[in-house]
Amino acid sequence: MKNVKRFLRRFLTGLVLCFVLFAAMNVGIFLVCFYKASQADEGSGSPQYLVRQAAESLSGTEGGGYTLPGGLKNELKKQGVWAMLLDSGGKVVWKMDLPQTIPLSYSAAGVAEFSRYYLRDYPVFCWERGGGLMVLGYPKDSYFKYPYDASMQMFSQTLRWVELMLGCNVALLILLYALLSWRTVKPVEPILESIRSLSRGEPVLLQEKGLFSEIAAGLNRTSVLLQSRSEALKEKEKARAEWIAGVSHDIRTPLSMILGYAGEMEDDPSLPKPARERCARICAQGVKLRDLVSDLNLVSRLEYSMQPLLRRPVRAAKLLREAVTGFLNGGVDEKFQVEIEPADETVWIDADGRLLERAVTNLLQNSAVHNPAGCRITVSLRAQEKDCLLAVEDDGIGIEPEKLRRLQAAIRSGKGLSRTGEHGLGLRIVGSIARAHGGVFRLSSEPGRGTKAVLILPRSQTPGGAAGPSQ
Amino acid sequence: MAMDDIKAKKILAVDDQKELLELLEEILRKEGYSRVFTAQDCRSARQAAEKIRPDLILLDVMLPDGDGFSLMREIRKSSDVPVIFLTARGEDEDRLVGLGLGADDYVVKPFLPKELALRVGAVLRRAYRPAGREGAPRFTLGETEVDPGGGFVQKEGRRLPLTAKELALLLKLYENRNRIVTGDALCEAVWGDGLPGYENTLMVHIRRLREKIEEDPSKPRFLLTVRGLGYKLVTEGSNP
Repeated sequence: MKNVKRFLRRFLTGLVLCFVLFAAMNVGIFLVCFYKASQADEGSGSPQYLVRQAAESLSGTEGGGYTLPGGLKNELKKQGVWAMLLDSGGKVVWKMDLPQTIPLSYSAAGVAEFSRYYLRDYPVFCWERGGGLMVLGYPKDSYFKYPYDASMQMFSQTLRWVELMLGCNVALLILLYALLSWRTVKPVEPILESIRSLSRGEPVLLQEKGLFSEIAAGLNRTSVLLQSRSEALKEKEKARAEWIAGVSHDIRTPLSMILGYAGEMEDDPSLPKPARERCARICAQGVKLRDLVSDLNLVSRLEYSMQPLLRRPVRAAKLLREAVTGFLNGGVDEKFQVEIEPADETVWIDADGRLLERAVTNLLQNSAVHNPAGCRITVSLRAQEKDCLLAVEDDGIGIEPEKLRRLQAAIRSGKGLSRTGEHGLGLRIVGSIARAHGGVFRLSSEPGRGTKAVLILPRSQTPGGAAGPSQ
Repeated sequence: MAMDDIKAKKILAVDDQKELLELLEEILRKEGYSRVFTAQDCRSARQAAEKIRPDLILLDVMLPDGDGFSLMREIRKSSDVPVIFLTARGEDEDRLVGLGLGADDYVVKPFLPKELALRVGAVLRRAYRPAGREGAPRFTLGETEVDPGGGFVQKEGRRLPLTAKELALLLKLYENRNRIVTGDALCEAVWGDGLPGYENTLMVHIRRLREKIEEDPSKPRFLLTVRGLGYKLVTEGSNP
């Protein structure tokens, strides 16, 4: 979402940069043109150049007259320029194409005047020559003459003004940029925020006005739609969980009858032995069915958060000991060696002890059920800074990679296995219990090497362990 | 205590399912309980409780005109009759544990007849045990005889007194004989506290106990250590 802001900023920066480029281009063009024009003015064809040439190349003749070199003369004639040479007394001593209206004698004031402005409306250019003055007169209206005088103070002030002007321009530019970017980014902010909320599944309600009112309205509609969908989904899931609870409840009474009468008959000495053995089988299967139904119910209740967790600080090491003890006391064949590693007694978890014990028991049973040839099962507890790892490991036959993948997916998503092996439900319970405790359940295995099941649970934040061994 | 006393106790079974009541009645009668009464709803259960004054009530949690929890509270106002709940596993079990309603026990439906009979017998024995310390019977471990009432052990003709803690330990182990008892559970039973801090004390007491009950304390036959978990009192074969 930050990218959007960055994008907008970049866009604005680009815009400002364009302005700067425009300005630079204009200045450049101006400078180039000015340079070209002044080149034309000051080059070999310019009046300044010509008047200097004329002053320097005018040579005196034997008769006291003067003559210009032919090339220069032609050049001057081509441009329609007249010329005269004044001596130090202000008298015209040489002239070329001089118009009638031009006087032939000048006072000092007259010289001073025309040398700066015009002589009878003719723009004139002067160059000093050996005490005299060479004057070139250009056709009327061919040159603009304006002598410029300025005090140094005014000149430096002007420079400061230029600096000020430039500074103001830059400041205005920056201000405009800031304002524009603020005005552009600000209305986008609530929109970005609401998109973030939507992605978290939270409801949003934006004001539908301003530049982005359409987008806001669209987001509002999307939010309403998503909320109603997720509510419908929740309703549906809850209904399903309730239905499962109902069914499993209804199964209990008939199952009670089956177990009850089969159990009676199993112990009835008046029945022949084969019949009693069959009853024992009915009992065993009935118990299995009972466990299955209650497992199913538990999973569905956990998944839909209908199972209230009775969380209390529990010592993790003690919980593991109790689970292993319960498992061993339930009658375990000698081909299974169960070992429990010495563990950190100060690790506490905020947990529903019964449920968590059940998860560990499930893992132990899982190892036993899937290794009919027997195996060594190791139970351990490892503490980390924030979590603790409850691991049940065996060195049995392991799980095929394909099946392991399916199991892992089922544990992660909490969704059903398409084809549950017999231990699909048992592991799902473990996964659900871990999730309900804010933890995760990880299963890994290597065929032929064994299976490792790890429950990673957050450690209790309240220092239940530090205060003392009371629970 | 004479077994007949217990079998003569009046039991009231309350459940909305007629078939289940019949089953309960049959199981209990087969176990030797001759005075079994039934009720199908709260109203008739209340009446029966008034009239019969049962010694034990088996109470279903879900009844057509109310729930077992409130019915028990009502009955408990006028009598201390022990109550065993018949629960639907998963939900009510938690409520029972969580609310600490003061039920004496609970049986999860569906149940095996043996399980039910065992629990009924245990609750009755506990509730109607004659006064005194006769609760724990004498038992033998090989050649050694333990007399919890007298608080001593009879070994090779010598009478060895048991301290209160040793006796508490031994009784806890005997209650769960042939099963592993965690160190935590033993500490809680004896010191009312968890394992950390009592580990060494527990080991010391176990050693002293072994000196009194085992022929060779360094090679225990009865009081076994289960590494990493706790202890186990093996009586199999010696005390059928």
